[in-house]
Amino acid sequence: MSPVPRVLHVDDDPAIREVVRLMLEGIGGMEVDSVEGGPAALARASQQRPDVVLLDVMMPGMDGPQTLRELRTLEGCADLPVIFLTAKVMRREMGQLQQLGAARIIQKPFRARELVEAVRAAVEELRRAP
Amino acid sequence: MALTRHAPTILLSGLGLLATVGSVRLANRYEYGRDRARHQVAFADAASSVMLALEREVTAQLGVVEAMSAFFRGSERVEAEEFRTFAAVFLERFPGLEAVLWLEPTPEEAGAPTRYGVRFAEPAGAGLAALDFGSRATWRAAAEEAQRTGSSVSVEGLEAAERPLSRVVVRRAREKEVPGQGAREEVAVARAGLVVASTHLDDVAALVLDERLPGVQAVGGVDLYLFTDWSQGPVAPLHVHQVDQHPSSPAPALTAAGAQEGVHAVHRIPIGGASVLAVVRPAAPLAAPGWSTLGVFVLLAGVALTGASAVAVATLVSRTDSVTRLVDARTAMLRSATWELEARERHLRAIVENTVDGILTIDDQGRICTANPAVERMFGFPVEDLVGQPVSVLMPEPHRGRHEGYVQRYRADRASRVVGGLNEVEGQRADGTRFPLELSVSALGLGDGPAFLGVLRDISERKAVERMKDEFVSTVSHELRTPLTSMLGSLELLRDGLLGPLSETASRMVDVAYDSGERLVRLINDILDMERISTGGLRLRMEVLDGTELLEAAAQANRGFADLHGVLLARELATGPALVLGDRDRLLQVLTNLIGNAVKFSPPGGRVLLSMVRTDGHIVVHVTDQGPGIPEDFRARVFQPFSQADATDRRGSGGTGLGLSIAKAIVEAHGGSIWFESAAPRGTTFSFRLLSAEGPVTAGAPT
Repeated sequence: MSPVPRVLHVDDDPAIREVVRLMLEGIGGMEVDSVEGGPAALARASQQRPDVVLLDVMMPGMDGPQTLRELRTLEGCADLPVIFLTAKVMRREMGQLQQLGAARIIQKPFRARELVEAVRAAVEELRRAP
Repeated sequence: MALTRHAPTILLSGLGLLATVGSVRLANRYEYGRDRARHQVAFADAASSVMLALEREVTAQLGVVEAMSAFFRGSERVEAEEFRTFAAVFLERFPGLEAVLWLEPTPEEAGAPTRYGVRFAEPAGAGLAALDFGSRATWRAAAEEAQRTGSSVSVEGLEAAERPLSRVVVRRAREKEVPGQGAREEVAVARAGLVVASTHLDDVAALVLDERLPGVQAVGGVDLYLFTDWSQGPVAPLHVHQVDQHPSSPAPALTAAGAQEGVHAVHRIPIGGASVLAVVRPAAPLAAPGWSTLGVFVLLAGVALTGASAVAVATLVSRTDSVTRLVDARTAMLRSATWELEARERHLRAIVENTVDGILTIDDQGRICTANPAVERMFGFPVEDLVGQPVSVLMPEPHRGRHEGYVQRYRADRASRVVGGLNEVEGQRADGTRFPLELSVSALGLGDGPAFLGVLRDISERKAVERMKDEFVSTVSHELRTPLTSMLGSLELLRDGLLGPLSETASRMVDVAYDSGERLVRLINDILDMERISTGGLRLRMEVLDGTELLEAAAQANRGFADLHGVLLARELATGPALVLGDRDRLLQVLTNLIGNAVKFSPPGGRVLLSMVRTDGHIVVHVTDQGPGIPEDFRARVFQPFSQADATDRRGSGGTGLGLSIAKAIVEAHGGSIWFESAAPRGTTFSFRLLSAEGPVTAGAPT
């Protein structure tokens, strides 16, 4: 694990990808790699092994949950911390996401500080893990 | 109809009258028999007295010959004067005595019959002195027999031809000649002498009956028949007599045989060696049977009894008619009630059979007793196949396998999460497919019969609509939040200077844009909450919470907002545990709403106090501000959605008007209550009460 957390952000909305990158890099001092969909995320994760994955839920083609399930099948990614960024607010939906094994669920819209702290916490947990 | 109704009365009256007539006849016969017996006894007495009197009188009159015979037997000679005097005494004494004679038989020439000439006769002058008693053969025979035997001999009287009952009795007085003491012309000396007395029996009988003998009047008089029986010829009546009082006198002529028919008495009266047959008959026969006192009494009693019985029967019939009418009326009422019940049952059956909801009755063993057609439509099982089956056949696994355990537990402790409530469950059709159900189970408490009533509603369509709505809300929320995310994120980056310094005006405009964006987010969240509340979709994740920690977290979360408005957040927390059962996120949402309002309406430099106390098993939380208070005209609408005291108030521009109504719904969903106290123009306290989970709570000092 590099001293600077490497974050893979997956979202089909380019504006959000840009805002998230600015928040994490500007406030959190992290390294952010943004992709627009699930297949690209799987390819990038298998290549770079990010420390944390920020995963949008509703995406065309492969959605967030499907991407997560595929991600878990990749070598070395079974325990990769994944934080869902979702505009869904229904409790039923939130419960389903938790059952998928996400480290965090952050509702959109979110504050920059909230996002940065969630990523840092996930990284810290990963580092403390045996 | 009326004749039929009165038939018992008529029949009873007829029978009663017949019985009365019969009884009257019996009573009259009894009375007649008794009267006849009495009459016979009385007649016997009367007849006896008549016979005795007659015999006594006859004996007395004919006893004259005995007396005179005895008198002259001892005399030396019979003198005329002496005879006349003696005879006059007897004639006077016995009126029925016709004459008394003294005969002296005079021998004629040899071979010639003895002449029985009358020596003396009394009364004199009746032509008797010249009478030769031997001139009539019967007399002569009597005289000779009397002289020969010395006994009294009776023969027909002197006037036998005219008066058949005239009798003569001859008796010897002297049987040998008495030697003369000298010639005396006036004294007749006879060698022998006979006394003859003549009498009429009818005169004697008249004398006897005229004596008003005892008992004769009592029987209404008697008829006396005297018959001779000394002659060898046919018996013929000698005399007939009847009391004068009898209206039909004289009595009818009867032969001796005729006189001895019917009621009669017979007595033989001796007269000088012969006798007379005396027959006494009642002068008037006993009256034919007629009305008797007993008969009249029986008639009156029978008529009275029959009348009373008829009245009683008529009353009974009338009462029976009343009872019949009452029974008819009651029967009509019962019939009407039965029709009404049947109509009501048809009505209820129509409802049960045509309702879209499935209705089941279940016994205490969990078996189906009845099911309506909707159950068949819903599950695909024929109703007749379901009856008697365990209700678990309508359930999917795992409930199907566990249902028997549910039933046993309920029978043991009557505790159930299903009975008495409305639950959403899953059903399983005959083809194995599952579908959502809304189930209401009630305990019937009927004793015998079904123990539970289950009402089932197929909510597949409703669930589908809810899912569609959820998806719509979710989609709308997503489509609004996604642009808001990039928008607010960008504004935050600008505001925080991460994208370079801004001019003062630009910075102020970024703040305005950011606040508006946040307000839009809150509005979206509140609208979603209101939608959940209105549809009953507000779900709580209940857990035991520490109220103190909850208040601290709420204060922490809102401190920035309070600082922004220059308001101090003070806390007055309980010491020790203040545990409540609730949904942490939702209770924090309530506190945030109340604190946000309090901060917004407090003046800069003001204070908002958060406090918590425990009373009577409850936790009560107060949020008190130092604001202007709630206007009087707004207080009734404080908890209504989209209500704001003053829409133009700048301090309220950040609210949606939904916060307090959402807070009220959340508190009430916890089983609590919320209220406020406002002392306009200064200060308002909003409070809500929750059930305490455990432990006492005491107020602490402000921190």
